[in-house]
Amino acid sequence: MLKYVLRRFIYMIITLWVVITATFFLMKLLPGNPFGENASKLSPENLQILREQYGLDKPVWQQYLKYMGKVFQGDLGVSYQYPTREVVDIIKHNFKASLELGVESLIFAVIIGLLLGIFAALRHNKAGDYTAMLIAIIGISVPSFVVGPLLSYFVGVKWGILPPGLWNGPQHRVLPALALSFGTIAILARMMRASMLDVASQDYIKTAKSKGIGGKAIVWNHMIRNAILPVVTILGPIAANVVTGTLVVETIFSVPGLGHQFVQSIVTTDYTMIAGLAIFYAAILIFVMFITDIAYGLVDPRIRLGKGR
Amino acid sequence: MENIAKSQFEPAVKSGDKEAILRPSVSYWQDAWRRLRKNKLAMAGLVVMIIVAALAIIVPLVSGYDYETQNPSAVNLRPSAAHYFGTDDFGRDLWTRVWWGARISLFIGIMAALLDLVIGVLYGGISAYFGGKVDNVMQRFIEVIYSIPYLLLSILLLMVLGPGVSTIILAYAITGWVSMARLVRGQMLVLKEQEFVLAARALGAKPFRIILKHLIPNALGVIVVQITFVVPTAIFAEAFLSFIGLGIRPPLASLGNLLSDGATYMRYHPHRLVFPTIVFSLILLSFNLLGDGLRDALDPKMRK
Repeated sequence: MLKYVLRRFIYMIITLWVVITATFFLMKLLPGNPFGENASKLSPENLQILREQYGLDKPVWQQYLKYMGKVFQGDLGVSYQYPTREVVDIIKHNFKASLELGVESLIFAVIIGLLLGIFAALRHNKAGDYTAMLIAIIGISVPSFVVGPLLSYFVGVKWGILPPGLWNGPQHRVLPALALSFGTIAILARMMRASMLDVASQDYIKTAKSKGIGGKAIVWNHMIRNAILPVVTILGPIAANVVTGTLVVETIFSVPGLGHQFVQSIVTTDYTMIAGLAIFYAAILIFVMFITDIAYGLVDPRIRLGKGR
Repeated sequence: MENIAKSQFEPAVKSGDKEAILRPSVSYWQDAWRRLRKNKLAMAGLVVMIIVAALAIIVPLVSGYDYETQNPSAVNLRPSAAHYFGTDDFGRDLWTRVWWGARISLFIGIMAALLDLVIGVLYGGISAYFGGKVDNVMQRFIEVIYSIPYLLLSILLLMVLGPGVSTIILAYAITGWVSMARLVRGQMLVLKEQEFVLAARALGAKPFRIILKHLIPNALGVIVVQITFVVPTAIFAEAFLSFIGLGIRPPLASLGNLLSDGATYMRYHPHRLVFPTIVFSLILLSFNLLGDGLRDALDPKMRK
């Protein structure tokens, strides 16, 4: 197991390195001048001073090594758009709201998704199953940037039940979290259903039945407990879903989170900000993938021993 | 009990060749089609998909409007007989723009799937066929690429390449092929141990002939299923990128930028959000339903 963890850890580091390298060189390839339109108003001397200040006068490989070193020390540079703000400070300042939104949507998704999946599996091939799976497939097909505006418009504006945006009290949390959880609910419900059906055909369920254990006890003690384990393996896709979802959901509901900031920096072409946030998000997702792989290894010994992939 | 006729207990007449196969043999694809036809949801998906594709091709040709001509005297109109889906803030006909957008979104989805297919099948096929060190190196490479979140990489790529139909396809394909390659490799590893491959090799078939003529056709079922899931993912990626301001640029219409505009104007002109949403969701829904149905119809594990 330790060897497996170590191997996954090395992969994680390599992937991170690839992401940072790709980000750096893509940013180097960007067209235009990093100092924007007003660069023409600056004298060549001033421009030179600026270049030196940002280290842009050195050869590319030196810039690369310097950037790499800085990133690993947790320094993602200074925003081009707001030269007084460090990217890391912006992350610290805005990440709280995103994290809160993400966790709340996950709680929604886990409760509703698992229940929906269990319900569908117990009503296998009956109307309830088809309804639940139709809901799930609609959840996959209708992305959060469609659900968000619809929720905001109908629940928020037209019916006025909940505020259509902003981020002040608990009542502001419900709609964004719900919009964000939609896709995750669908993924979880489908996975849970498949897993439950898989467990239902196992011999130990037959044994339990023949021992005369009641239906509810079988479902709770034997089926759900065993079926829930493989579900951890889709943690990676779920995290990706939630993280990319925050970009649009925060923009739609004007949540002052990091996703909103990311979209803003794309609009204002704030390159250091984009690069920094992309690396930050990639690091989170790659870390989640690492955790998923470890969990996978714990659940399924075949993976750990290197036969699975 | 008594009223059962005695004739029913007569021994069957021995006639003709007992070994003869009475029914015509059913090929793998015929069998899959038969299973698929029984799946109502999948068939609904297929029908919707065909209708949407037909409308996306025909409507821009016959609607009498085009996607970019502006009409200042018909701004933000509600749906009417002249404009089935209403008009936008430049007086452009939404009925035309939505179907034009569907056309572009479908084009992006299908092209991305094809690119995925070519790269993924070649990579996975080569990796699995040669095995050993080649496989090892190629798989290590895949494991690194696999963990890179594709939407983030697409964002960076589009910043550099600039938004556009071809750059979106490219940005998607650069990371998208990995799942296909893994899937194909897994299938190939199973298939290449089977006797018909050994027979082909014994007859002197070259590696690429074996990959192309024997392994890929046999893995086709899984590949087809994967494609039906890649198309909606790519369409989703386009819409997502358009939504955050990196997708197809107006005046060209795509479902992504129509949705993004619709969300901005929904408070005053809800029709601008509702119609693109319906078409977009129908496309994704139909592909997902068909994909699910195909997986059940083609998956060898389900065929007991």
